[in-house]
Amino acid sequence: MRTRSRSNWAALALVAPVAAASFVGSVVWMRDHDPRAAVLTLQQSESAQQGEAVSDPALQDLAAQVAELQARADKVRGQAQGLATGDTGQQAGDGVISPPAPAAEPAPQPDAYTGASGG
Amino acid sequence: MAEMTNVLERNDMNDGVGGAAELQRSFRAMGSPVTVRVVDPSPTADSAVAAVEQHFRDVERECTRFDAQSDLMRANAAGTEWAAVGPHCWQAIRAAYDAYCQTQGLFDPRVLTSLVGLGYSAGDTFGAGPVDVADAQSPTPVGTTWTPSFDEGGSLVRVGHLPLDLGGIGKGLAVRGAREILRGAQAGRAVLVEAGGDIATVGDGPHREPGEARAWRVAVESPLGGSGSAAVLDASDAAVATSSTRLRSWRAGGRDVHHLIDPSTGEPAQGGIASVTVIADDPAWAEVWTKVIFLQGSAGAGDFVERRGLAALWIDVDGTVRVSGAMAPRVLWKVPHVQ
Repeated sequence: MRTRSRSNWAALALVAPVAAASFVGSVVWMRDHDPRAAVLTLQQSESAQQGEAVSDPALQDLAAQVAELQARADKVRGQAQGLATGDTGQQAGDGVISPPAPAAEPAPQPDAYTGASGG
Repeated sequence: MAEMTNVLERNDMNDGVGGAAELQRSFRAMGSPVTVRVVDPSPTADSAVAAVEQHFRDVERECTRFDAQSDLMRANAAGTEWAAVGPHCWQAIRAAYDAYCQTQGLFDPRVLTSLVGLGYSAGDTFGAGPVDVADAQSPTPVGTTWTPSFDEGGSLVRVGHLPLDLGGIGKGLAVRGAREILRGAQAGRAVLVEAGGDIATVGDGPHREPGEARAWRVAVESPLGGSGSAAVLDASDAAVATSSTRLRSWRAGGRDVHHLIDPSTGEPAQGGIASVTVIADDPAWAEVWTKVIFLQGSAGAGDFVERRGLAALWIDVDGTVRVSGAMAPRVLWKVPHVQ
């Protein structure tokens, strides 16, 4: 016969990654496999779905962590999109991230030119 | 023989944005079109711009390699003997030697023999269609340490065994002097001097429409023949130079060559880069760094510029556009690839 804690652990092992993925909208592994965090995540998800405000400080801290994960996921999506279009803004070998210009934006009118007749 | 003046355009005063005045002059010197722009010109602007034009003529007369009687070519002919030269030539050779020392020989003006051997022997070699030289002489690597001599009075030099070409720094020096003339004369609120793509500015550019940020905007042209630009840079209070294989490429001895010579081999540098643009405080140093970065090739340019904190943009032969960390804040617009 399974004990209550053992069945909780088993359930959490299944639910935690799924809850995280559904909450942030992408597959992001949580750094700490904290069962309590996973439980709080599930509770927050359920509360959010039910329209309840999250007031527990622990849940607020978790919300901040989730926001950070959301930002990371957005960055990953942006880089993936850039790989698809050929412009990541970061060129291999120079270690520099330069802001890529949107292809649709026209170049500002220059005052002078350099390059074609360069010596 | 120095080029005759060919005044392309004289728009002495025109109305910029909001009716603001701007003085523009264009002429040809040192094998290139030269443009001077003065925003909100002062009463001294006209004479200052005339002085700039005379300055370019003086630099060309003393430093050109396309006139056997120029100060430079007489110094080259004198070799290890003392030669009397004018102040512009003395300063140019001295600046070239300083650049040689500070780049540990990566910049080396002793490439004239290689250039002539590949067929680049006249000022009007390019611009009238493809150039194909049947015979090419063997490359001439510099092979030795350069030890020129200079007198204290600034009028005598000994260039050494190998003749010099000042094409890798001369235009930048001329643009430097032009900017100093305009700044010293307080010619206007903002100025721009451009000579064949070597540019120096003072101030933050012309008047713009309301809502537009003020800056001197310089577009980097594609070295691969396409009409589009690779980037637009903020060149306010700065100097810009580009080394590119777009214009001075030709065939010699049955192979493709260009004018950016690797001093260590005497051959056109090979490394996968088509052009390098540098922004720096000084126009001559901007030009020097473009040459040195070009030699690093696409594999080494990134580490080279980052270790030295250089503001550089370079375009590989496949059209990939890369910028350094120091250049990124000056990039107003950029594409990842050009054609």
